[in-house]
Amino acid sequence: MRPDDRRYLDTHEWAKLDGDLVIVGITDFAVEELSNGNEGDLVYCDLPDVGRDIDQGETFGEIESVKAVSDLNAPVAGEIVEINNEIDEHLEVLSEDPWKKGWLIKIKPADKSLDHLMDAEAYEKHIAH
Amino acid sequence: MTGAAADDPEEWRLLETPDVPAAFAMGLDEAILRSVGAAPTLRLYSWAPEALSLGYFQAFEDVPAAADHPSVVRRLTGGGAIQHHAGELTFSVALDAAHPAYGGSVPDSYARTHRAVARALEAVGVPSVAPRDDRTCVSDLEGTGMCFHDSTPMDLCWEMPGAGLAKGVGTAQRRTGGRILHHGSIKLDAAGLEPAIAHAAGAGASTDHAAMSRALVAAFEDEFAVRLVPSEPAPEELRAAEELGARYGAPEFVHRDPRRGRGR
Repeated sequence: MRPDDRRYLDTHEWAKLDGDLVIVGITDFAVEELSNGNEGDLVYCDLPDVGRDIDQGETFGEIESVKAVSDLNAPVAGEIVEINNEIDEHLEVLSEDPWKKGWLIKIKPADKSLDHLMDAEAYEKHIAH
Repeated sequence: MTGAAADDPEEWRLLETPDVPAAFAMGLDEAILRSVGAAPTLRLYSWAPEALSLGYFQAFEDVPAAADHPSVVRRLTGGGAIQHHAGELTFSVALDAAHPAYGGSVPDSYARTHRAVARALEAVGVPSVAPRDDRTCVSDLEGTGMCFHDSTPMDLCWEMPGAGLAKGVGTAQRRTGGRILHHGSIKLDAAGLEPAIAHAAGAGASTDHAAMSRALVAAFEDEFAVRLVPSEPAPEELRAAEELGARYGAPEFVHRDPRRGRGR
């Protein structure tokens, strides 16, 4: 079971409320789908500039594995207030710890509600079929 | 009115667009990628004039061959640079990400596509086409930035007489908006910017585009249990291809370097 302290997008991003901010990352399923279990297959993650305003569902970045480039989608609208600079040099943290150390961006949301996203149980069902 | 029988194969679109300019080639692939709701599409094409395509995240400076090349574009898909010349056939597959043909992991979808491409190459006379796995390629060369000079275990390779195992098919995917674009480049003959790679001619096989295209169609139909229906791009796809294509050869896109350009 994936962590139930956060919500999920069908495109495999997760969103966790942290005070006034929403922390965003990608799930272990996304990492596995891109890399097939080989962390060296993830080659680059392009993250946005701090200060950018984004809409819910908008692409905020892109991740490249050896064989595919995929979009990263915003779970909520708001302003990007922080990005994880660790990702630039140590992309392997996405494989090692996608839930905590492997966070990607922090958003100051226009609306803190995450009710429009899937809970862990719904996400498990989503990836099961 | 007659209905299709339940066991009729699914129909995919087959688009053959030979000798297209580089920017339009890329624009049409993006237009098809954005055609949500369209039938899965296999597109076969060649480039005229010859062109060099960079991978989506590649730095222009990391591809020495690009410096003096008169026609450089940047692809929507990742990986290394490719020389698109008269002895090369490009294919693209575009379909919904949820389509079972490309379901599962990214490597799973590669394996299926590569099975079809390998079968097609063998049909035109290239012997023993197979993923590299843990073998070594003589085509792996440092510092060129070229796709065919950097192999992974999934890449399709064959023996070049007198030289050894080399990479002869380059592939990359883009996944966006619930859709997948799978690019592939098949080398039928040699060209100057990609020494040491595998090609059909070097293995004593046909370099005829039409023969390779027919073999690919048959192999895709067999692998994916579908029927490929010769089609034309929709008028709205052609219009979108012109608009979207403009950026692929634009200097700001060709020379961009996201890895160095964020100021962080």
